[in-house]
Amino acid sequence: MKKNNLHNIKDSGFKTPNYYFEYLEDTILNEVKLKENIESHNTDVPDNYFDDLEDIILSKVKLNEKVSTPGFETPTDYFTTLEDSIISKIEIEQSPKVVPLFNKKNILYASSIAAAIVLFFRLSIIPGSDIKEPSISDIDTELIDSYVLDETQATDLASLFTETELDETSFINYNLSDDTLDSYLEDLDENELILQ
Amino acid sequence: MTKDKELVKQLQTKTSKDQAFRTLISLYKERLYWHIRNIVKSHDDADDVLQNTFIKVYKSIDNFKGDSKLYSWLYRIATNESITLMNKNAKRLQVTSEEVQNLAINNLQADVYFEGDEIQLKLQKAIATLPDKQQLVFNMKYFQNIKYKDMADILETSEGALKASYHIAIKKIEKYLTTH
Repeated sequence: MKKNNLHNIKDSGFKTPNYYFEYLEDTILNEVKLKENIESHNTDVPDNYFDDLEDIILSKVKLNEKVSTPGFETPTDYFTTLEDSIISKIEIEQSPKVVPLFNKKNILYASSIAAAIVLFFRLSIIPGSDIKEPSISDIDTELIDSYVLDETQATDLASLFTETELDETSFINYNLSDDTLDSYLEDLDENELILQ
Repeated sequence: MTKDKELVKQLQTKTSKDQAFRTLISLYKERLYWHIRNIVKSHDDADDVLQNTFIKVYKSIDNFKGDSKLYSWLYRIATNESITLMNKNAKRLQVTSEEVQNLAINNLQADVYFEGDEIQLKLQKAIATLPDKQQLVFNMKYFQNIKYKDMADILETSEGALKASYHIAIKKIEKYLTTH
């Protein structure tokens, strides 16, 4: 029969436990070390090591049967574009930094300080800066007249004139008409003239 | 000279730095991305951290002395940048880093870039119950299958301690999934 023909049997039919080969390295290494320890009479083996060994391997196998990958994914083409992203970042970090001399913030600060200084000098912070000096035209003429009559003496006024200005004839008005002179002379008492 | 050493030499030479840097990104972007993503959970945060990581590498490549593998150095920077982001978010929101992590996990359900089912969401919650370093160990071993030797170099912890930490983490998570 065909089935029994050697050439038709491709599979040996042998199977291995799940993840047998994954843990083989650890298992063999543990066995080898164990043998080395026994041969060298080295008793420095963790407590309950042999009791736990089976347990450990079984736990590994069971865990792997349940879950073997973390479930994380990446965006499409993430690794393809990664190099360019990293190189760009390095180039940006290495390029010389340009610090602008006039930036909005600095100009704003400078303007505020300048405005504050101008206001400081303009406003009434300095005492008396806003008092206007009075002039002679502001004084009432009646006030001047009464001051001159009450407070001053003839000698005070005289000190304000020079000698030429104080000449007697300066005070005499020679612009008298003949009629006025004649009437004055007629009224004049001759005796008063003689006595003077 | 190994490929890594050759790449480092090119990165530390001015004339070939930029081209070598592109090569570096191309070689490590996916591995580092998933490492970061497992810590910070959201794609946007992972993208920020990944870019910051590479920028940091570009700036400090001249300080790399070759004491450790290039791969370990890159992973160390990525891990530190991820933790820095989580701490920064915690400070900004005025909560603990555990609360930030829980917030990130709660946001996963509405996250466009999370297509996990209920069990995968539960797994994230289970991982969040582990101490910080144990979470790192679990994520690096379980999801990325990083060798203990390399993990020891990245996390600056002994291989034995890492193995023990991983085994304990597995048991805790299995128990969490069973009881929740």
